[in-house]
Amino acid sequence: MNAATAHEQTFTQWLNDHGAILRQLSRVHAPEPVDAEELYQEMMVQLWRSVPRFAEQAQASTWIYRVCLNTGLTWQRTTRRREARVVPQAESVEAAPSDEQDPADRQERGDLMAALMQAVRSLPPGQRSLIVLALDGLSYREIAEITGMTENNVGVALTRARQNLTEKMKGISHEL
Amino acid sequence: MSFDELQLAWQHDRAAETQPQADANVLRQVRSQSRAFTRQIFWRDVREVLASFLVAGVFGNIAREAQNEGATAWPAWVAAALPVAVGFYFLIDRWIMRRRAAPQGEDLRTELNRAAVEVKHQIWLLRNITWWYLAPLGLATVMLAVQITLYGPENFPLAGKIVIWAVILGTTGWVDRWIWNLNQKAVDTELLPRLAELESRQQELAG
Repeated sequence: MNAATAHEQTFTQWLNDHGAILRQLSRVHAPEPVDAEELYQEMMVQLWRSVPRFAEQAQASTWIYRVCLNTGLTWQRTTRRREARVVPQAESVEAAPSDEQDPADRQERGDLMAALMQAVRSLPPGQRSLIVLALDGLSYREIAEITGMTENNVGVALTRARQNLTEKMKGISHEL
Repeated sequence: MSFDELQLAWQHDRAAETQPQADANVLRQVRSQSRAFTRQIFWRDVREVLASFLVAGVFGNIAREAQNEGATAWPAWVAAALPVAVGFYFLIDRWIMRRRAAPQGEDLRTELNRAAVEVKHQIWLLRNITWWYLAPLGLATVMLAVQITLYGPENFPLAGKIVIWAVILGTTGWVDRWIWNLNQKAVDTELLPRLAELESRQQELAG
């Protein structure tokens, strides 16, 4: 198998296995759908470019989180001016179709997700990255590996970030 | 609402996210965007050094013509060499910074540190633009004025020489001042806020 084919295969597998991470992270960093799509494309390009540097000793998901979170942190700077013009709208999130068919349940879940997304976005970028990883269910060790922090520091910073998120959630829930 | 409940809602949303598929179209698009990115970086570098090499070419031509006519040409050669030196300095600096750049996939703190070092270097470059860009190019134009006035035709009137000096020095001074102001403004309005932003993110991840 030549290098180009191996490159394509690795990328394809990453996208097929973990593509949803890119979608959700792009929505976290970019409130407007058009911006989220642009960021999603950017994350894909950076991921593609990162394939030759991927060392097998790292887990693919850890690598993908690193590339995408770094892209998100850098990308915000270039769009700040646009964000200043466009006031992010309170998001209406269509609840995911699932086993629960009750429209009231779906609406409730949609409202909760909209509030949560808004609260996460309003966190400072560093805390935002940490809280996203925690919400994804990653362990302290995995978060430490992605962020470069010690596990102890992850614990301390996450406690602060969780408190911050809870406060923001209270405020947003009252608004909704 | 507890964090566990929020986590559950979040993961539910993730599971419902449309799973992208890397088909042939996606691969073609990503490959093309990646190439466009490489091209963009290449042409940005070319644009930035092209001016220096163009000026060097013009001054070098003047030096060559003077030499062919048997006149003294060293000031024009110096005038041609200085922009070349500026261009090479720029290229070497870019090359060093690119080598230092961390590959994608580094952890967030390393990436933030790298980005902060890069921004600090850009600030240093722009704050000191006088020494590595404006002064050499300014000196090059002075050398050109020397070439024209000292080694030009013998019957060239003194008033003409004074006018040439005034025009060259005045224009150079004005353009240099304008470039200097532009770069200091870029430092104050873009780079310093960016550095503050990166440093605040570094602190957030310091634990």
